[in-house]
Amino acid sequence: MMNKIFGKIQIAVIAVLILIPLLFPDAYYLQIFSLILVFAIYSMSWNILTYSGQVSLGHAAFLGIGAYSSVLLAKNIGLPPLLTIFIGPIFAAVIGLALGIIVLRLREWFLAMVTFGFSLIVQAIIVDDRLRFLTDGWNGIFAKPLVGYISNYQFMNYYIMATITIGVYLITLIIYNSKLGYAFKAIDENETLAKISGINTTLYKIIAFMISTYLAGLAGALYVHGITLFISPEIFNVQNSFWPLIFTLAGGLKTPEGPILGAFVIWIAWIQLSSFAGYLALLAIGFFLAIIIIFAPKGLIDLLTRITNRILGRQI
Amino acid sequence: MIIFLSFFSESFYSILFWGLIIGIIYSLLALGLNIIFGVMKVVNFAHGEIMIMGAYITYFISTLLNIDPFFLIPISMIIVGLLGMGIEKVFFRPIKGTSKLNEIFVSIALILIIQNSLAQTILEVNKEVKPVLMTTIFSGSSIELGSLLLPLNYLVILLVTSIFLIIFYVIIMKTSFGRRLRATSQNRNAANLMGINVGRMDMISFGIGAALAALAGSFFGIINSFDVYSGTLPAIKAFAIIILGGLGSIPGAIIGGLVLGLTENITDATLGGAWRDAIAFLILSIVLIIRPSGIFGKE
Repeated sequence: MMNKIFGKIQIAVIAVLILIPLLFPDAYYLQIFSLILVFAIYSMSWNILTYSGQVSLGHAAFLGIGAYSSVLLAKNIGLPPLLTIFIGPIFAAVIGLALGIIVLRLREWFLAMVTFGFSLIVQAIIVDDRLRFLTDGWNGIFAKPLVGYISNYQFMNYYIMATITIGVYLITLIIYNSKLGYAFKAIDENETLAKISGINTTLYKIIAFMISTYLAGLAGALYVHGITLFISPEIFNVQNSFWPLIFTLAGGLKTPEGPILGAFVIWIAWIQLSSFAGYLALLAIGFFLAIIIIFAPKGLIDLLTRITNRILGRQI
Repeated sequence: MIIFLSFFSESFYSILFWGLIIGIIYSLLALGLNIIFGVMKVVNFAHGEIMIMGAYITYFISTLLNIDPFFLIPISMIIVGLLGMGIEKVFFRPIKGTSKLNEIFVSIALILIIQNSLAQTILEVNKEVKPVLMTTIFSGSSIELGSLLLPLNYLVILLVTSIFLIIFYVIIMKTSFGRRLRATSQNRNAANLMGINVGRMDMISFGIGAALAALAGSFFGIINSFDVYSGTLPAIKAFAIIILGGLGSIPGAIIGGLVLGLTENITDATLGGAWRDAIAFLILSIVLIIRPSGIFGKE
């Protein structure tokens, strides 16, 4: 199994993640790379759900639940953020479990609609007056920083994010190469057939939901403790539900590396372009995405492997 | 009990009236989505961006030529209708027949494209991107009905919508074009065998849907201030409406839209503003949990 997991691509991905701070030791760049890693984790969480044949247009709900739980645990109980970023997402997973059970029978657009609405419902609950004593409504609350104010804290910050990103990436790889992953793939390809082959589709779909929502919550917790140091109900915005989809599609849908590659390429392209092109940057990303969907549905990772194989003269 | 009693007060009637106006916009959006869905069996999540495009086209021509927005609505509908046909050809035709998720994905690409091309245009023309509101000759004046104030704009919107819906009904039900459209919607293959060019029907239905969205958008810009991002939510709510009202059902879309407008306004008055956007999806989720294929869907 280990040989199957660690191919050349996998080692390259991990090496790049570890080496980035040595190539760009600038604090500003490290902040940006940390942000990209948070979105890479978030996109990987969304990707796992898609791998099991389910699609979510409301993953911001879990990003937000994980973040709020972690911030509130750190603030009200006084636990260190390094601990709460792992405890908070448990709430996201529990709510993901509940939603997963509810939407079991829904497919495609219907599932997309209910999950989309779910993030709005969660937002409405968070800003409700009866929860104001905890969440302070639309005002939001401050989040404790992941690492205290030491010198070079961006370095620490980046390596915490990178460690967790590599961890999540390894989890994805292990899932893909295990019985769990084969079950997901079978459900994705043909649910009825999977059921006939003796796969407990209900159980596996719920497991996919729980893993995915836990990891989305983890990304949310990292986002508020490591990047923004602040949380408000804006985290449940529609844009936040669409980002993982955009990154994953660009990189390669249902591939383990796709979300990481997509997050890096799109974020860097966006930052580089928007400095001089303004709104045209996102416009270009929109066109790029449409081209990927229509002409290269397997994403950039597939193009990249094909190009390297061509250069190295290998047949696939 | 207090809430119940207040239902009979004057403010209750004004809540109903405002809900009705918002409901008209939902109805028009849902109607357009439903025609597209009926013919193409495709869902366009970027319908709201097409609506905002219609609103901006009306707004720009009206500020440029100093003409009242109400007179420009047909022009905006024609422009957006033609753009809609182009969008169908470029974005939706290539992915037809592939995975249903691709429709959602391509819609999201389309959302980015339309929002940012609009924002860039506004930046070039107005030098800043901020919410705008269209003013008409009726803006500011209203009719008094007891203690209830009915803005004249809203009454004109009600009237124009009714006229459009009647024209629309006649076209769909009484003309040979309408018959072809309904035939394609009922059975695509049979319609194709009868000599109907279903590919062209796809394009035309998308154009009609986009034109209805432009109508909705122009009204939206008259009653609300809007920016490039205000379209996403109303359109996705409109999709919730057509799931509830029956995919492909025209009366379902119109009635569903009005009911949602009323429900939202009542929710806003009783549960608070944040629930306004959530209520449509709360109802949708409950209905879909009980009946996973929608109220009128086949099991």
